[in-house]
Amino acid sequence: MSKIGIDKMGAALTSICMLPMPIYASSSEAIVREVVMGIGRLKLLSIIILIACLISARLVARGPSLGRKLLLGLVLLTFFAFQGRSILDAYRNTGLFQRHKTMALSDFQIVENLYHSSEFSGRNILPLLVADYMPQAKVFLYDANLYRKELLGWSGRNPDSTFVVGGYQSTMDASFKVACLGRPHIIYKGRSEEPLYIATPLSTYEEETQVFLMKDALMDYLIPGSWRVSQHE
Amino acid sequence: MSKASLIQLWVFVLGFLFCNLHKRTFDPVFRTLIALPIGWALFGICATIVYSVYFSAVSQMVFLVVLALTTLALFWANIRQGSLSRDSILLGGASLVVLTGACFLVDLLRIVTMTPDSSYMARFGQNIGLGNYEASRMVFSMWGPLVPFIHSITNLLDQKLYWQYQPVLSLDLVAIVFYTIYTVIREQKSILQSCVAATVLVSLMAISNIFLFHVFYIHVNIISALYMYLFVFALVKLQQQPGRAYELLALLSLIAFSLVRLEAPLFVIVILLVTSFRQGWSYVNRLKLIIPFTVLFVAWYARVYFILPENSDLLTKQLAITFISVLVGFGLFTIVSGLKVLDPIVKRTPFVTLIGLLLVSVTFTVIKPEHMLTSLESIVRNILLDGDWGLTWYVIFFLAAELYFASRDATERHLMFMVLVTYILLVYNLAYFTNSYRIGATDSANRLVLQALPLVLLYLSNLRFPPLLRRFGKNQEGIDHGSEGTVVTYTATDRCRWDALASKPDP
Repeated sequence: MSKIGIDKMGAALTSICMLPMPIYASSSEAIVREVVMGIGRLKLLSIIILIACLISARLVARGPSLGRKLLLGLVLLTFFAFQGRSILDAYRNTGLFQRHKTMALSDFQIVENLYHSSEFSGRNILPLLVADYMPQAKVFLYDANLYRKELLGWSGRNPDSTFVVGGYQSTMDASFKVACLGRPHIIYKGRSEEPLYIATPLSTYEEETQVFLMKDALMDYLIPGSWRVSQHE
Repeated sequence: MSKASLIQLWVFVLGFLFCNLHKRTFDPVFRTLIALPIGWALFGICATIVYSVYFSAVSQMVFLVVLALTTLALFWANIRQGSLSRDSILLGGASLVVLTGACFLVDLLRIVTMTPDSSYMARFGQNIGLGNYEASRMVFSMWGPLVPFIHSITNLLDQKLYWQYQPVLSLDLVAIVFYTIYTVIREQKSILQSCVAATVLVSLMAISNIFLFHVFYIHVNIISALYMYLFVFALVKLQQQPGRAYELLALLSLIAFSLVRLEAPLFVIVILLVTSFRQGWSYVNRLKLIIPFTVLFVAWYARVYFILPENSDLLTKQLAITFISVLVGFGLFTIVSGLKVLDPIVKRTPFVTLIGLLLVSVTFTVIKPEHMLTSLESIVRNILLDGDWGLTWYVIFFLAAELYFASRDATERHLMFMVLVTYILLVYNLAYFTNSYRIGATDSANRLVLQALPLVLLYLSNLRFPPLLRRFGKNQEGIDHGSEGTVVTYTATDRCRWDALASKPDP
């Protein structure tokens, strides 16, 4: 009976002390296991050392003394060791601080998968691609309602003179599709439901004067104009 | 050398020429360190004025001409004032070499960290430079204009993205925080001790995953941290060294800070209420700081009101009007604060502000308990566990406790302490108007805490080392707490007296 009471008290105290931790376990061992898993063994140990130092510092006599210096040393040692390891882990495992070959928003989002903005995902990545890689190309769209005019304007170019609706065969035929899928490409979806086929490297589009947005039952294809010319030949 | 580096060097020269006009107040290292942020502040102010008046494809050219004219005017002012001595030229030259090295290093590293916000900021900013009004005005409802204006020059750099300014400014922030903390501690300790103490304090900020992420992050956080730090530092220094130099530094920093984030003017108002409505601040000094700020930002928000698109993001037209009303109210309060009849209220403004914010916090918590307590929980949890801080805040709490008990009766720390407390209260209160703060390193409250961290470090350095002024205050009561309207000046004689007093043992 008293053991159950102690367990309950322990659980309540732990949940108060670790206020931010979601605790759903019933037994004290399970709670401890959850806390350790949530925070991490090493971080928990470091936090315990620092809290112990904080309390001990109040017990050690005031003024400069060896005990106080040792405590400060222990705190700083724990801090530098933990932070150093944590930064090293982030450097090795996250790829956050990797060197980038191409510094362009579209490369970061499409090729390197650094982030997915909600506005520029899937088919809506077009304005970023136009801004970065289509300085002079006319872009042919198969439907006037595919994009908001505002979104097309975000490409930085005049939407009226850059984007042309219709006037071309927009459905992919089977052989051309196979040919396109055989070339280097990326199928970019991001947060959108509508994926877009994009030729890689993205600089492929840089020399193009015409770029076509085509479609099949599965997705849209952003086809460099020169590919369609060679298809017809 | 890349064009991106050349632009940074130009901005540095602009800032250096400005700082050099105040070389008698700013020591050479400080002058060099603040040159880059001051340069970007002048850049932002010029861009804001040009694009507010005329937004088109030629605005970029007009803006560059204005920037060039500003540089020439500052150069001419330096010659007229005789500030451009051989030493200054050597210092400027040496600093340019160091900055070139930093730019080269950053170019070599090619590291950038991004989120969707970065892509909006950069893309919309680039559209400003192209004179594309429709495709860029959305950004003014998301952030302040300074960072988008920095991105607006991308088309001049033969680059697809301008990222180099961010790591360079971050390095500058670290250097400024280190140097200012070092100088504070140096007043009491040896060079070695001051270096070690400043290194430890700056490490608390610099050696954390969240800070390293933000060093390379295309966003407003580090830049606003830099300007807020300079702003508060200048306000603190103004109390010790009144004069135009720190007044202008405070004014430029607060304007630049307000041009970085949408909510920054609110923080500025609260900080000014806490710091400049104290005894020791003259009415004229207060007006010189607050009136240009309010006039500029009333004009800016009035302009933004007409720029905002129908589907604006954070800043709506109603909110723009609210901002204008708050700024006008603050300006009027400042103007009438000189009236004798309001003296009892004005004297208590810092405490009234603090109590007011506290009451607002309680009210908001009562009105939306779940929303506000979730936000509070997220703030605490991010600081201690999930905000990518590691052990930073644990060590800060340890050092704060140690330093507090070591110098319990100090009074000068109250100013910084009040700034920090009101700042945290305002961060908490802002949750009421948005979605509740969430758990994670990229949460906006966590980023606002990051913004205040340099000030926390400055506060810690002040906690331990105020006895110089404290003793002076105790022994010469009334001199450093001059009555309203008087300016406190410290002379070389005072300095000697402080040193003599400081050498005496504690009573």
